[in-house]
Amino acid sequence: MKKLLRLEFIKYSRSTIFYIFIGLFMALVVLSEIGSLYLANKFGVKLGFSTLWPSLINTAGQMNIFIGIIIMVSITSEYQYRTIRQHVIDGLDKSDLFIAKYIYGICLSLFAVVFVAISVIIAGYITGASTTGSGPWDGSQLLGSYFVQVLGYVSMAIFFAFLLRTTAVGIIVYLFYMPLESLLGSLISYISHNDTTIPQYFPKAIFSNIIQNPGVIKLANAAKAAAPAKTINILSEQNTLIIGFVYIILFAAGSYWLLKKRDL
Amino acid sequence: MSEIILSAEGLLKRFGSLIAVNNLSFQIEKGSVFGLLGPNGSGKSTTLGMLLSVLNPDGGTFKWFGENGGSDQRKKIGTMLEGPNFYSYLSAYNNLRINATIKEVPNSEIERVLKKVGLWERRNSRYRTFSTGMKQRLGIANALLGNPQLLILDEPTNGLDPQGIAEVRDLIKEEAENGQTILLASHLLDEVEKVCTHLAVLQKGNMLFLGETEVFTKGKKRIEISAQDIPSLMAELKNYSQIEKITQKENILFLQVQPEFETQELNKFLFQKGIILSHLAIEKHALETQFLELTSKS
Repeated sequence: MKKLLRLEFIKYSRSTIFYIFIGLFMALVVLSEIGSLYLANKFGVKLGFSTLWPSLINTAGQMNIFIGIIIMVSITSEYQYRTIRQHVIDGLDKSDLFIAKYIYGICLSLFAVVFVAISVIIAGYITGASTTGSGPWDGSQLLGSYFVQVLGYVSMAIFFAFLLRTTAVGIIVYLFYMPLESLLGSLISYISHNDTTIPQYFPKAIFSNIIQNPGVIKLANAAKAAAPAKTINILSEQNTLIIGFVYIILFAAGSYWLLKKRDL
Repeated sequence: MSEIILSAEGLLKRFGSLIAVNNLSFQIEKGSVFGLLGPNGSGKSTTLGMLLSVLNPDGGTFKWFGENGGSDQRKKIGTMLEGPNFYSYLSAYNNLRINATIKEVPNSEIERVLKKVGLWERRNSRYRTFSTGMKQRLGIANALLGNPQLLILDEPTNGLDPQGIAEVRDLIKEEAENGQTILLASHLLDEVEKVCTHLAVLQKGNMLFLGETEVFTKGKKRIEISAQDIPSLMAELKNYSQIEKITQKENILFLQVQPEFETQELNKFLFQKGIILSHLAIEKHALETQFLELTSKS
């Protein structure tokens, strides 16, 4: 395990592309958080830490796709340079390659969690959230769910990377999958007379709903109250989290199967 | 009996309907230089790919060092398969650090192998700044890392200029002289003939020959001779017992001779008959002659 971690460190601690994407992720998280705080301020909403955590984690969650792209590029470039093949020739097992990429993915997910945590704490102190009476860690338990969410996007990216094996195609498919799933969800919902039950079980929908937007929940509840005849079922956070885990396991199993089954 | 480094039994690989490697069996003994010879697309790299676990065989078994081929066995093998594979943005040193980490050998080994291939001065240069020859040499350095028990080189002189080819060939010879077991896959007959003790000839995935290089080329020696008086020379040669066939091209006679034929004996014989040779040469490409004959038959 330590050896695999050291290998990934040698490779990516000197990769310019890695630093570009990490920089982009950090910049976009900070910018999106600033945007959220600006809007809250504009509408005169005073956010305490207990509301700041879910709001900003939800906002930062929109940038998880960049973490997915980092891991995807790391895998597809191994195919491009044929280094994945060389590693097996030199003495790694295919299972080592798979574990190494998951270790890397978990490290990236942890980095995202730590970075978002630091940014929320800083944002809280700058905007005076500490003066609302809530402690800085009130609401921070969502960081665990956020970790699962990032890992979900990472697992999906790992699966697409092992499936498609080329960087450009991988990124395009990964990026297009997101709106495509929403489109398919809308279509199914339309066909089934506005029943949103099935689309909410789709992987991207599950991962993005792990951290549920407080505003969206309010809107859904209001819609349900206004039109009780319509089927508006919202999965609980706990169930979403469990299904998220199931998807992570499925993507990991699929990735491993692809790697093991195919020639390098 | 000498130690068996590799034994492969009935290896089979299909790509769709194409049979790339068909029921291949062979062994490599310790200390031998084994040549895997065949034209492009004959199945050499596919065979090596299966033996090194990057391709899944459709049939057959193989053993490295008497054990089923796993990652522990591959760590004892140094390989350059289908060219060098490195990270373009990493330096030569860091690229080798990756393999040193995989093989669990100390980083001091990197200095030894980089010095051996003449790249120590360029250890901090990024791989992408290297010329084709330097990339190839780095690939060989990577293969030499950790003093492997077997060195596998697949087309090691591909893309090199004549000087580069000579350098790589000298390096292989040096390793072979030091008792290193080598598996060399190549379509360059001259390269194989110069260094290999044993040979497997492949064509379209089938094994056409397996055995010692000497046996393969035996009986295929050809001699070129010339003298001022060609008709007299031709007349005397017809009385020489070890010559099987004589062909003439302009002023040169080509002799197909028996395996026990010695050039100095012929020279002495002709001198005694009053014929002084103006040209005497042993054809260098006995392997080529035999290889072309074998592959055209199949």
